[in-house]
Amino acid sequence: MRKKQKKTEADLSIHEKVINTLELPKDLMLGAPIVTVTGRKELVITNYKGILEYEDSFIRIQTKTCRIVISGVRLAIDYYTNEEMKITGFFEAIQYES
Amino acid sequence: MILSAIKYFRGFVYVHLTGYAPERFLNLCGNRDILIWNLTPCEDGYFFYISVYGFKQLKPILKKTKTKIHILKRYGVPFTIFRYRRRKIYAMGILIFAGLLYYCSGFIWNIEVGGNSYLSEEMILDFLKEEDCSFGTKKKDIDCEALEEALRSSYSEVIWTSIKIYGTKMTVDIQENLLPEENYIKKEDTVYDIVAKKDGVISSIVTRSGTPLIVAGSEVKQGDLLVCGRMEILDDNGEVSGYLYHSCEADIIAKVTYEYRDEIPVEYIDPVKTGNTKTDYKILFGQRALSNPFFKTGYENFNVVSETDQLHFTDNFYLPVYLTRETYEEYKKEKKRRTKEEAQEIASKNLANYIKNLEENGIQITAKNVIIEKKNEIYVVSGTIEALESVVSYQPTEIKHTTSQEGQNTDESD
Repeated sequence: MRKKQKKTEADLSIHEKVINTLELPKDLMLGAPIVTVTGRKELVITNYKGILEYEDSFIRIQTKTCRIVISGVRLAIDYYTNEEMKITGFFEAIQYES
Repeated sequence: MILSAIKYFRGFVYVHLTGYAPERFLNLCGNRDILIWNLTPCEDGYFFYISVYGFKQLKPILKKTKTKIHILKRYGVPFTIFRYRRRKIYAMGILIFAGLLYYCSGFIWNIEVGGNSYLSEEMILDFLKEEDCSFGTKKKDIDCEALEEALRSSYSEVIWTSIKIYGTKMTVDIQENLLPEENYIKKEDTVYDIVAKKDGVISSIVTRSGTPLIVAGSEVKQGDLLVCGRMEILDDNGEVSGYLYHSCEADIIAKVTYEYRDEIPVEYIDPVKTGNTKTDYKILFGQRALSNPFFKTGYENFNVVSETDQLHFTDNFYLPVYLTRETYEEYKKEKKRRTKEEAQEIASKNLANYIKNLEENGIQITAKNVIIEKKNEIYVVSGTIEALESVVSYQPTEIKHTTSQEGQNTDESD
């Protein structure tokens, strides 16, 4: 008898499986955030909903699927629009919270 | 770069945001497409930059989020204009400058000539001057196509022209006929004889049309008739009854002797640079020069090397302002004497140049006999150079009339 595994968030849902097989862009279909990190001092994030908290040492951003916490030193937001945000500073960690 | 320039022209402010929910304020700004940049946090809120247009839309958001905003600094053109609103002369100056610049841009201030090899750049510039299209002409008054036509018709060598005006620069591109002149000077309607261009002894003659009057080995003088384009028609009595005319064509090579003479003085003055130089700068506005009144060289003998640059904003927008740098180099005159070896070296160099010049004109050198002698402080180089070259030159054929004879003949037949 096969042991029934408990379904966790790390497993793919049917919705995700369909998108994977059809090779559709995930940022559009799932609303997945795109985080582009250039070196250790520059970061561009798209597909987000808003800023939850913002301090010198960490920024918490709400996206459509999860929350992203960027911690570091002297963090600053270079620009901030509806689609895109650019963060500069010295990063120490990029964390995902569900 | 362009983005920041646009921001500067529209104006933006640096503000301090405090209150109950500043994060919510930021998210609302994002939702309403109000651009915020260089956002930095502080203990009781945030500092950021926002455009004037965005700032005016903030009122409902401020009310909703119960936050307050303070302007710390203003940047951009709208604020600058407001600050200097009473400086009327200054504003007028800017306007006059802009007006002058616009006025100046309606003239030609730079001319580029390309593609010329026979015609010198000066000749073309002189031509443009005669046509009233030189420096400082209004662009409106220049008809490029008419100018091209005029240039082609006044110089027969020019077979193609293109005159264009970009900004304040006029470019003149021409294409010249590189074939030698004799190939196209001949016209069909007149008949030509071949006469000797130079004195010499004929070494070979190949006649394609016309009546040859000489053979290989005959000696000719300049202007002698070599091939005649007129052919006699004899009647039964052996008398000339008429003439046939046909243009001549022939290759005639003659042995020509050139006299060569060159003098090299024993004593000569050698300018020796002392190494002292002074530099002066000048500004030219059109014809007027603005020079440094305190500049003095104090040199007795000097060479001047001047470099001129024309003021221009882009490659095609030249203005009538020139900056000239003049470098004065002092030299001393020193008397020196040449040795025989030095004189010989100079003599052979001059002779080689002379021969090279001849060979470039299609002349074949067969022998040279040159000696160098010293006569009263002068080295005299003299001798002869023998060469083979074409002596063909064209001259209209003399037309002989035989109408009177023909008239008599017709009378008799009646």
